[in-house]
Amino acid sequence: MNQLGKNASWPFPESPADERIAQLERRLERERRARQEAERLAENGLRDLYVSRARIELLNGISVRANESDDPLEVLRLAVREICTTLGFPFGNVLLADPDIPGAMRAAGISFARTCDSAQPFIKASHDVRIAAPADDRAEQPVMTQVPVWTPDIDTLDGFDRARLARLASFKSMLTVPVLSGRDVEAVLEFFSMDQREPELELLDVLLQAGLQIGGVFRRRQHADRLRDSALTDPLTGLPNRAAFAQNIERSFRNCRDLREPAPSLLFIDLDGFKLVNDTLGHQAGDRLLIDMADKLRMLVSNANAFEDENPFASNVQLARLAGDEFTLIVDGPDRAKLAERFAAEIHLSLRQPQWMEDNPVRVTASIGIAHDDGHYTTVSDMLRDADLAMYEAKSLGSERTVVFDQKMRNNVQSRLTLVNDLRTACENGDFILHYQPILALETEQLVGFEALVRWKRGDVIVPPSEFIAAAEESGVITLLGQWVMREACTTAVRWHKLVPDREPPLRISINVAPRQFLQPTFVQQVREILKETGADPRWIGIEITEGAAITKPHHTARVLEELRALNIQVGLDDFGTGYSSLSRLQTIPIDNIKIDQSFVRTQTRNNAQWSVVKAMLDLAHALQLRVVVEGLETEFQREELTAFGCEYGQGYLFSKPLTEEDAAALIIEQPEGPFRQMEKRIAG
Amino acid sequence: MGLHSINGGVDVKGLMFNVLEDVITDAYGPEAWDSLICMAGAEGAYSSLGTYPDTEFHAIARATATLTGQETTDVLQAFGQSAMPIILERFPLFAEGVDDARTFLLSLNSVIHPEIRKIFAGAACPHFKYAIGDDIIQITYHSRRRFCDIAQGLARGALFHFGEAGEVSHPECLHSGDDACRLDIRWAA
Repeated sequence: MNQLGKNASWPFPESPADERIAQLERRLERERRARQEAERLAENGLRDLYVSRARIELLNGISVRANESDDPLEVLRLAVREICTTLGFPFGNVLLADPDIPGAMRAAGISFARTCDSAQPFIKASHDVRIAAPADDRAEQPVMTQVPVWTPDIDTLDGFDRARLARLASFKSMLTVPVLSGRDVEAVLEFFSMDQREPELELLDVLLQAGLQIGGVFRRRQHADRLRDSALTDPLTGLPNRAAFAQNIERSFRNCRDLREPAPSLLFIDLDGFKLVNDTLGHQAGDRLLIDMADKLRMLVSNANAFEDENPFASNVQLARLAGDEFTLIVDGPDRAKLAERFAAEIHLSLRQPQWMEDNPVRVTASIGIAHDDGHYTTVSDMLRDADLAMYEAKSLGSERTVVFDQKMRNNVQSRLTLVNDLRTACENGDFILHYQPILALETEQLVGFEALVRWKRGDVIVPPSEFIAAAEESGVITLLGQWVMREACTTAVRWHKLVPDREPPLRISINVAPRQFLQPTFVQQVREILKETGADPRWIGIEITEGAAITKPHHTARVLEELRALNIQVGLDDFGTGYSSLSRLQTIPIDNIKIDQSFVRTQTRNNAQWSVVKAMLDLAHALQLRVVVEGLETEFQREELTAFGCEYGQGYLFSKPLTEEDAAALIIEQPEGPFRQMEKRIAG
Repeated sequence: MGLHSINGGVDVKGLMFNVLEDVITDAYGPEAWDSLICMAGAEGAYSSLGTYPDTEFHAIARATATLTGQETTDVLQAFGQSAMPIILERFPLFAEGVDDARTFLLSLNSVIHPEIRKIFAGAACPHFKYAIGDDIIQITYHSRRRFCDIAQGLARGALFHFGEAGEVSHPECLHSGDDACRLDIRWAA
């Protein structure tokens, strides 16, 4: 029971029928109004719910994609579509910051439209729109602000070029949303509508957040770009580095092969005087020189169009710094060969002007190698090798030269490759022999030893060392060959010792050791093992190194020589006098003897003798208590003179040419101690 | 304002019934609505946010035509025209800041339908395609529902609401075998 009516009854009598009806109608009206009020409340509640959920979903959708994607344009495409469909904009368009003009924007070609045909001209104009940087920083430009801006009437906007087309499309209002990375506006989303109702602040805030989320994608992309750029850029010169070059040439080469077109031409540029600058003026000067060189090359590339007469934009030139003073150009386009050679000429020309460094005029020159492709290259590395070879060829011809790799060089390379391969096989098969040139005491003409000289048995031909030692040294085969020589010489020494076991002092075989072999960390170990293996006495052999090996690594050399001497092996310096620099260093090299190069002896004749250099060398050697051997003795005059100067030993055609092992053995047996030339006559007879 | 129900028929939002009641009551008095409900055999209790079968709506419209001696088409057109001021009064957002019928009609896709969807979840509003001339707008749309007469009336109501003189015709109709429905709104010169 109703509590209100519990204690008292209703005091008024019932009304008559008409009044009753009127009363009921009023009640009905009140009920109706209450229902409508309830409906309105529910409608408003539903609308608010819908709107806030839609905004959350919109922001969420954009945020999720922004966090997943590394492509800002893809996220912008999604954002403009989602914002248009969610918020009912008939047209949305994306502008990007112009990378070339700070503050300017240009259309990204990304938009979303659900409009009538009359809006097409506006849409088309929006796809091509460019917005200049504001002339005045304070100018109110909706596109460059850091927050969303709503413009209820675009007709009132200053400098809005699309106003007429907007009217045609019935667009009245505009909403711009900035995409911010830090304080930089990376992009702007612009939305157009007929709707002039002011958007709620909450909506603008949601759009601001969306813009910040998209800005994050730009920031990540910039970060990734910077990382990639720094991995591919030479920090000193800012040029693409070796890795970038490798990528570029590899890609170009593959593309050309796919299209069955010749690959780009390749220039290898190496500075000639660079090491000298580094050594004399210091690394800072060297760095400045490289930066200057990079600038010059950049300038040449950017000016390239000027010297391309017919087809100025058809070519594509890529510059890189490979390492140290090595630069490279990839030259593509229909005139690539002509253009590449033109570049080389321009580079030489641009280096003519000396550069001033701390009041020193520094002039560097370049050696340039070029490789052109006529379609025959199967791998890019072959082409790189050829450009490199051409560059070395240019260097060997002197400074400021350009060499284009050609068929002749290819043949040389081919025969060199064949030579090295054959040498390697020869080492494995032992297709070498040693010849032995007698060494005599000049005063007594007594035999004291031999110099072992290697010969290559290439089929039926005996190849002299002058034709293969350089290739063996360059290819590294020399270390194998050197070991073979040492083992063979030791074996011979053992055999000969058995022929004259009591000879005192014993005969000594001098063995030449190439720098590359000598500089091996295991060299002394190798010698020890060979001595042990063959049973040779260390006193039966001598080791000769060149001046070059001695000065390359002086400390290492000194240590190795000491170790050899500690084994009782005599060590000597070969070809003395050809290296110039070592005269003064002679006292720091622990050796037993020097061998004066034959070039100092051979030219001396009775009528025209200049012994001053030789005498100076002899004086120096004797002051250091070194014994001296001369080589290249050909005349009696030379022997007499050198003997008079106090030179101890000699070898040369005057006494004997290099002999086979058998002939040398015969010599030893016949007359181990007598004057040499008589013995030889006896053998010959 | 309606949505397709799962049983294949079409549902109508209660709002449509509410507005219809207002229009009928305004024209013929409150008893008329009661009579029409009875005659149509309709439920009669409609809340604006609820959904109800469109058969009830059409039954009431047919009953109105019968009782008042008009064609159903005319009843629906008259309903549309009279509904416009009621709707705009109830949902002032639909025409906020709009001063003319042209702007109002062009904002159907971008303003009014989105607003309707915000309140009436799942409301099936057709997308309108416009062709715009100096004194004419042609609105083309696809809708399986037989509400083109109401739409035509609503357009007239819009003209009337903004105090503009013009004609609204319906030269093409999906239900007469055309590809789509088309409304032409032509302003008097």
